[in-house]
Amino acid sequence: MTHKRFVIFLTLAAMLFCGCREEADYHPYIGESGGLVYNSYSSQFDYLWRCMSTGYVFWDVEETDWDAVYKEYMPKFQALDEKHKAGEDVTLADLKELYRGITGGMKDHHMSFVIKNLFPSPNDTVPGFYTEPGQYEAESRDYYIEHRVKEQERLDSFLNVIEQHYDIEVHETASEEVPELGESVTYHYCLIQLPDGRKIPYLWQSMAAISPIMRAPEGDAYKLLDHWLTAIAETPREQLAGIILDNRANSGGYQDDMDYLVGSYLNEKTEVFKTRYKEGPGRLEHSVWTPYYIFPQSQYHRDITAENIPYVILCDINSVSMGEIEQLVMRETLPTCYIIGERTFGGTGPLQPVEYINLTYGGPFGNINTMCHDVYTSTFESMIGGQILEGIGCVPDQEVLRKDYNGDFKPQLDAAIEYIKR
Amino acid sequence: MKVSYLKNIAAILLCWMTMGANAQEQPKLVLGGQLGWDYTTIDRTSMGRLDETYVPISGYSVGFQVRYSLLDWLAIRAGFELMNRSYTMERNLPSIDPVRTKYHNDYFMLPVMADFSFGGKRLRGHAYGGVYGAFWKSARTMGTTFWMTDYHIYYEEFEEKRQFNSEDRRLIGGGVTGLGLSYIFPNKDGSRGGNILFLDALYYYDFNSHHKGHSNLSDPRYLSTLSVTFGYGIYF
Repeated sequence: MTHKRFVIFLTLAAMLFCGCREEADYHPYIGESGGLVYNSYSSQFDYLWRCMSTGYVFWDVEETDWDAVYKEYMPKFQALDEKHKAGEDVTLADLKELYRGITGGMKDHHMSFVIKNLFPSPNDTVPGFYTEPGQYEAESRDYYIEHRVKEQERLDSFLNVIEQHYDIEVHETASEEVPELGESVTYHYCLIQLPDGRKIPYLWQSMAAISPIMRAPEGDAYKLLDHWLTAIAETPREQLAGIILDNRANSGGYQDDMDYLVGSYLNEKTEVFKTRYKEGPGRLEHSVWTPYYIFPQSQYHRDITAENIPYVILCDINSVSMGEIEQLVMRETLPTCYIIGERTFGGTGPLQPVEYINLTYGGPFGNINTMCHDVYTSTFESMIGGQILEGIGCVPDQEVLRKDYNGDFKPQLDAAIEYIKR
Repeated sequence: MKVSYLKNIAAILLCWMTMGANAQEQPKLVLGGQLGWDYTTIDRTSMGRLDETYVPISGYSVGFQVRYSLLDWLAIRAGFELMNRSYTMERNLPSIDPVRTKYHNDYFMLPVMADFSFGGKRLRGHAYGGVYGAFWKSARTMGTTFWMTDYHIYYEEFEEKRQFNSEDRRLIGGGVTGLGLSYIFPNKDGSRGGNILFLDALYYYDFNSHHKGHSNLSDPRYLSTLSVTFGYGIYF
């Protein structure tokens, strides 16, 4: 009797306990596309809102109230659904206005949304639209001039005739497609000669693609980079006045470029910033801050710190992503680094390929070819001291604004040469 | 359905109470302390994280308890314990296979239980049932994380104190049940009372998730802990 009593008691206790836990709701994860179904403007918004809610890495520093966004915009998308059901056109312009309002103030300056119209309107000339919230913020700065694509063309034109302005001993230029990106990179390498005979190896790069170029040691771009790096590594100290890396209008690219641009001048493994990634669907669920290291490289090594060689980096508002992370890292690690130009764009989170989403639970998601959305977000970087520069960018040591010179590229380069000559 | 449960419970409790009519006079209050080993699991849906495995790990507990006998076979037991409730998360994707995080959690546990006992004058069996409140006192995370360049993944060991945030629920409740054995050392004059040794196995089952989620997100994570404790008490 006694044993039976206890068995009944334990069974009852177990039954009572098991009914006390809440079940999880199904929730699409940021990288999850298998169960993706949306067939209305409001359900598309709901899906994107949820993916951002779980996968966006900046919630703890983000000023946009994401819950308020849902409350404000869901009725507007439902109104679009009603409009569509009533047989009226919903245009891309209608959608773009809403998505621009949703994302316009967000911190992530890598972010972009490509959205297709689920029910294309005869008034739409293209199937989708592109919106880049960070660009809106940049355009609001009083020193903004033009989008980086246009600025790259202008800067390339300026450099093509650089001999008109300076004593140039060597000038090489090369453009090469980076197959992994499907984009072309343009370089100008100039060996600038000062009146006293000393030299300055100068490099402009339209994007950060040194590492893929150097992995395939052939072609003009490889030779050009090899010449610039060799000039820095092998020019006798008394003939080497300094180094200039021009990151103006640099649209970003490869993190591994830092092996060449920084690692070549380090003597030991060096922590340069910290990264973190999402670790769960909670908005505040992150991995620990993890050190990001650069390792010393031997191929083009030179101890520019010991030799006190000035390393000047030029940057502007169109220096984006690796085009600005590079100088942030150089300033952290190379005491002779000096940055001249404009505060940069502010996209400082290292990007991961879309296939890494299952590793980091964050980053880009969607595919405009197979779905109706393609959203690009970055990972999170903090400087060693804890500063968060996303949306802020790199503030130069010496500000020289091109708007003060009618958009001329020369004054910033003049300032770099003057700094080196000092 | 709920009414039916309650009727069953009431009938069983009544049955127990009437069977305790042969109680004999004894000291009613026991104060004691215990040390324990525990084993914690976490219940959580995958929610799209396809490669994570949660591995239970063991910990330790230390605490005090008080038992007050209402009848010869029925006592109320309350306690205060500091308990490790820890587990490990392992990533299984081939590219990041070494990545793992040990979540080392310390909880203050405040269980209140009914203690149903049976058996002889010295060696007695116990069945426990009750509820507890728990406070997530502190946590540390340690393990191996990763960072990536364009072409490489690197691993980094870490250990750091967890900084709680607004998504953490630190105050939770749960149910506890279990079985135990006790041995009562009689007084020199042969009367019952004196000292008591006990060995208990208790199962703590959280009713609240320690992650609150957020708007439109319900991804609860529940801890369950099997705790085996060995203790010593004194009758008053």
